[in-house]
Amino acid sequence: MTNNALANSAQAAGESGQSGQIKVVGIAKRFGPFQALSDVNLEIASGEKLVICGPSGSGKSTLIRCMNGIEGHDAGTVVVNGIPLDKVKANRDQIRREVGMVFQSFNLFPHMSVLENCLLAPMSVKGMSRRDAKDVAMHFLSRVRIAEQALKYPSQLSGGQQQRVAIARAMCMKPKILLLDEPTSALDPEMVKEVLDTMVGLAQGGMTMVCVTHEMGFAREVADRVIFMDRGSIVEEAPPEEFFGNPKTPRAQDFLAQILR
Amino acid sequence: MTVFSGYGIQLLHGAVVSVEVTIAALIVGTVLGIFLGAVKTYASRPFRYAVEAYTAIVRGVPDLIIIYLIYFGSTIALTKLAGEYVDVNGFMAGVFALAFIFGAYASDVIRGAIRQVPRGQTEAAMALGLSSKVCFIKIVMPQAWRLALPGFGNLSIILLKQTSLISVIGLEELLRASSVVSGATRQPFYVYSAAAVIYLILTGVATLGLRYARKRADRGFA
Repeated sequence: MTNNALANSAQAAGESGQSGQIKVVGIAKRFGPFQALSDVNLEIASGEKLVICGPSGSGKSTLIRCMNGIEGHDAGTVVVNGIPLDKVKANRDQIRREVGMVFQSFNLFPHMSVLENCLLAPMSVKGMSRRDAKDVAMHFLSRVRIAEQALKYPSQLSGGQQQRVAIARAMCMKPKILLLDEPTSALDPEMVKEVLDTMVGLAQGGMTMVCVTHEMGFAREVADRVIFMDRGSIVEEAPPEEFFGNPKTPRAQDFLAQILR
Repeated sequence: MTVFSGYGIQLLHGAVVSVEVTIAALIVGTVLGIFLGAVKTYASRPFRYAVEAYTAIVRGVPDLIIIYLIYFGSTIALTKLAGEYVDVNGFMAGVFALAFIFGAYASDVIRGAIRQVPRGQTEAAMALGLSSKVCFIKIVMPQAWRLALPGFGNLSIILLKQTSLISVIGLEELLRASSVVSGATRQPFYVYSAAAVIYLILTGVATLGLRYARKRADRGFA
């Protein structure tokens, strides 16, 4: 039931614009001598649920961070919702309004209550009144089943609760696209499920989701497509059953053997 | 009031001036320190170097000389501007000189604190679409402030004691008042002891205030 309600709100968020597409063409990114991404091409359709996996250092986080310009790319183009992500500040601002992001380490603002965390961007970026923003915030906080903690500070919550707040905070901007960068990797094992359930609920709406994760259960249940990266390139892409059941490249086979062990 | 044959009240007047100078210099110096700390952290090279040079000068030149230079320098400048001799207000010159010194040290404390705020905080703010101004004011600075408070508190206490230096430009703050009173009463030891106790009480109150500020800034941090 909660998941349905969550799906509806995600649907509403997804419908607010005509597109939730991401096009990545030939991007490259280098950190000093380390080539994090080389010639990555990827097209994500509106409403698609994409899971990105791969060993650490494979460039998956860098790739997802290039999709809202948290990380700049050195070469190639990224187009989000039809807007090129380039040096033009107005474009970047517009994209960030429409793209939400959830981080591995939550990155909630520790000096603000849960509610204030959710109010800041809608009020400051969208110019919503406190009252309207609060309605939206309480709506999403109850969707992630944490409304009763709204006045607490993040440090008073468990990791799983904090990550659910982070999801609600991102949803308060009603993004067309939600990027999730290893959202369950920093959680204690017993808290992984509550966050995954929340994510599954979101996925039932029309919102585009791109998720870096090794949670195969989530990938199987939700993903339309799985992308496997290694050494800065996309090595394999397939629907989840195919990827997990019958990986083609030796590198993907090695990787899956490792995480399945 | 029969303390120091009626001169005691003059000491208290001096103490009030010291507190006024401290508060004024603290306000100006803090604004300056936050601004310069932000410049040191975010601005492009020429601006950063300019601020570094300013800090190096304040660090390397004795405070008394800075106070003299600002006092006499502003007298010359204003006299030239006005075309006739201008007597610079000791209070203004004193506040400006102390804020000038305070701002330099505070900028380093603030810069260090800004750098300690985790990168993820800025990233989350950017991902939410917040402007860099809002990000600095609402996200980075409140967290940096908490980290800066211990160092900042020390600087404030030092500032309170540094106000005694501006007695040299004729402002009748606590130290100058003490010197006047000790001349009149011929009881320098007791008068200066009284002044020491007053400074001690003032710094004690300031310490309590800073402790409260620290507690407030710690809200939300386990």
